[in-house]
Amino acid sequence: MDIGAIWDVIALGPMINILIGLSDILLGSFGLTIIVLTIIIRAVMFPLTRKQMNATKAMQDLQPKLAELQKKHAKDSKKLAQEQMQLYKESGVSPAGCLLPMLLQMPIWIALYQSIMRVLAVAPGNFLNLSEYLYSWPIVFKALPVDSQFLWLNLGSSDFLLALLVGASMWVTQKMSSAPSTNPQQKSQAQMMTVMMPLMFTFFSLTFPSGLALYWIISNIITIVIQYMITRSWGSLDVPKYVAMIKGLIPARKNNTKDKKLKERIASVENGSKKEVKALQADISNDDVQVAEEGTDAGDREERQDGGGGHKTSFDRAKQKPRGGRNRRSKRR
Amino acid sequence: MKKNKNVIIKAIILAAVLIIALLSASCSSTAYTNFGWSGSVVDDGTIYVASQGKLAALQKNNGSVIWQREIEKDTATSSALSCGMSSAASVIYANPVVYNGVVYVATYSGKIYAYSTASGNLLWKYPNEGYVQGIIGGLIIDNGAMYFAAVGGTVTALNIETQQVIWQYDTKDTLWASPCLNGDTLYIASYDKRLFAIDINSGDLKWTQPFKTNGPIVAAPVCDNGIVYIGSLDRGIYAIDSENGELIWKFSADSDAEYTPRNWFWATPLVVDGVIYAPNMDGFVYIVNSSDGRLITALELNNAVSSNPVLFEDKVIVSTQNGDLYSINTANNTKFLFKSLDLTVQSSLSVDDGIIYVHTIKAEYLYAINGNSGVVVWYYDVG
Repeated sequence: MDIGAIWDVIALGPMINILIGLSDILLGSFGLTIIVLTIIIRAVMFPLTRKQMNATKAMQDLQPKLAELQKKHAKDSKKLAQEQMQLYKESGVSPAGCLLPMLLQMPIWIALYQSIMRVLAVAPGNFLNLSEYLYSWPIVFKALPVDSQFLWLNLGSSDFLLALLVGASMWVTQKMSSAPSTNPQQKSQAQMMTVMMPLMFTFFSLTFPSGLALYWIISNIITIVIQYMITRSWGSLDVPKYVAMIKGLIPARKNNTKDKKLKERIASVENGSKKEVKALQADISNDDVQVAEEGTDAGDREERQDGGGGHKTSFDRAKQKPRGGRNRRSKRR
Repeated sequence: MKKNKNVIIKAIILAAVLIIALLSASCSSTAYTNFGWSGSVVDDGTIYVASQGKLAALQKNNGSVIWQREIEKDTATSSALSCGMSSAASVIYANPVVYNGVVYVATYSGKIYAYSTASGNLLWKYPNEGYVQGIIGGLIIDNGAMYFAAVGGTVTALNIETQQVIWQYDTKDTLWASPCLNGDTLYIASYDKRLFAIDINSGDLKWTQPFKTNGPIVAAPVCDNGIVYIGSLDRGIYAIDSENGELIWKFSADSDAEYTPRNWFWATPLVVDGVIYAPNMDGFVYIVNSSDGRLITALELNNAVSSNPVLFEDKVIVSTQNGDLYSINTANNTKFLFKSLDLTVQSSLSVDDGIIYVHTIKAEYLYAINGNSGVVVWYYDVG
C-alpha cells in the first residue's frame, strides 16, 4: 500500500464521509457543513493550537536576547549556536514547540481542503473519483449531491467578495500574531508576512471554489478568537496597547534622557495616533540600537522588547524573573 | 536596506513556491480531473474518436489517420474549472455522432461542431457565438433534429439543417446524462435525481410529474419494450412505465438479495433479451431480471466500472476503470477476462465487425481489440 492509499484510508475517506453525512444532518446545506466541521476540527485541535501560540509567544519574548547573542557572537557561529541552545534551555523554550503543533495540524487541514474540493466536484471526473472514498452508509448516498448554493455563493465557483474577505481576515490574523519588534530585520519580516500571506490567500481564493474560501474565513475567525483568548491582546492592531507599551517601556528612558523634545513627544503620544506611536517607537528603537552598540543593558532591553510585543504578561514576567548569573547592571547609568 | 531587500526577495520566492506547489498539487492530482471521457463511433469503414481538443477520423482496419482536426480552444470555462487557465483545449465527454455524412461533437464548454465525414471540414458550430451551458451527455439525432441536454438544465431540439432551435425545455436541474429517444418521447435523467419525459413534437412534459429517485442520475436512461430503466447514484436500478412515469420495480442496496449494490450505478445498463446487465462502481456487474427486478446473479470484476458496456455477439463486454476487459456470456452469465490494458477506461466501449474499440484516458489511446481473442489489432495515440 503506497502512502497515497494510506492517506486516503486514514484521512481523506473519513473526512469526506463525515462532510457528506453532516451535510445531510444540516438540512443539506454544504456551506453550513463547512462552517460546522471547521469549528469542530478547530475545537478538537484547540490544545495543539494553544500550545503552538504559547510557544510562539515565548519565542517572541526571547527575541531580544537572541538578537543580543547574534550581535555578540556575530563572527563565531559555533559559539552563537551554543549560547542560543543554552538560552532555550534556561528559558524552558523549545524552538520545535512552535512548529510541531502546527505540523501536527497540517494533515487535518490538508484532508479538509482535499475533501471540500472532492465533494464539491467542480469537474465531472472529479465527482466520479469521489465514489472510491464513499462508505456504504445510506446517509452518504442520500446526501449526494451536496447543495453548492450557500447565501449568495456557488460554493463550486470562486467569488470575488469572499476572496477579499479571506485576504482581510488573514491580514487581521497576521497583524495579531506578529509582535511589533524593535529589530528592523524582524520588523521587515513581519511586515512582509502581513502583506504576503493575505495577498497569497486572496489569490488562491480567486482561483479555487468559494467553498474553500469559506473554510479559510471561518478558520481565520477562529484563529483570531483563539489568539485573543490566549494573549488577551489584539497584537499590533491594538492602539491603546501601543500607548501602554510605550508608557510601560520607556519610563526609565523618559527619566534618563536629557532630550527635552523626546520627553515632550513621549508625553504627547498618550493621546496620539497609532502612526505617531509607531514613529516614536521606531525612533526610540534606533536610538537603542546605537546605545546597544556602545554597550547594552540586557535587563532594560528585555523590558522594552517584552513591552514591544504588546503582551502584558510577558512584560511582567520579564520584570519579575531577571536571569541569574548575568550582568543586569546598566552600563548606561 | 540590503537586509530588507534580501528578506523581500526570500519572501517572494517562498510565496511563489507555495503558490506553484498548491496549484500544481490541485491540478495534477485528482482534485481537478477534467479529462473528458468521450468514446468512439464507427461508420462506413471509419472510426471517429474525440479527445481533449481534437477529433480524428481513422481507418477502422489499421488505425491510420484519414483526417484530424483541432477543436477550437475553450474560453468558456471559469478559472476554477480550467485550473487557472483562461483558455484551454476543449474537454469532451459526449461520444461523437455520425448522421448523413456529418460527424457531430459536443464540448463540455457548451459548443456543438459539425464536420464533414469526407473532408473533415467544419460545416457549422452551434451556437456560432458564445456557448450553451455545457454538454456532458451525448447527442441524439433523429429525423433532421438534434436533441441535447445542457448541464445548466435546458433540453434543446435543434434543426440540423438550419441550426435553428425548434423548442427548448428548461428542467431547472443539472443534466449530465445522455437523453434516450423512444418513439416520440425523449427521456432525460437529471443530476438532481429526476427523470423527465418530453414530447419531441411539442417540447412539453409528457408525465404529470417527473419520476424521482433518491440519488443523482448520470447514466443514460435505457428504453426497452415500454419500460425505461435507469441506474442511479443512490445504488438503485429503477424500472419505470414509459407511458405514465410510474415505478414498476426497483433493485437497490435495500433489496432482499444475495448481493446488493454498495456503490453508484454510473454506467448505463445494458438490456439483453429480458436481462439487465448493470455494472456498478463497487466492482460488480449486477444481472437482474428486467420483468420483476429480481437479481439473477452478480459477477465480481475487482474494480469499479464507469464505462458503458456493449453487446458483442452473445457476450456483454465490460471494461473496469483499470482497463480489464471482461466478456460475460449471456447464455450462462459467466465472466471471462480477455484483455488487461492497464490503462484508465471511463469512456463508452464501441463494437463493430468483431472488433471492440476502447478509448483510454489520461494516457489517451484508442485500442482496436479482437472481441474473441483479445488480441490488439492496432492502437492509435490519440493524445
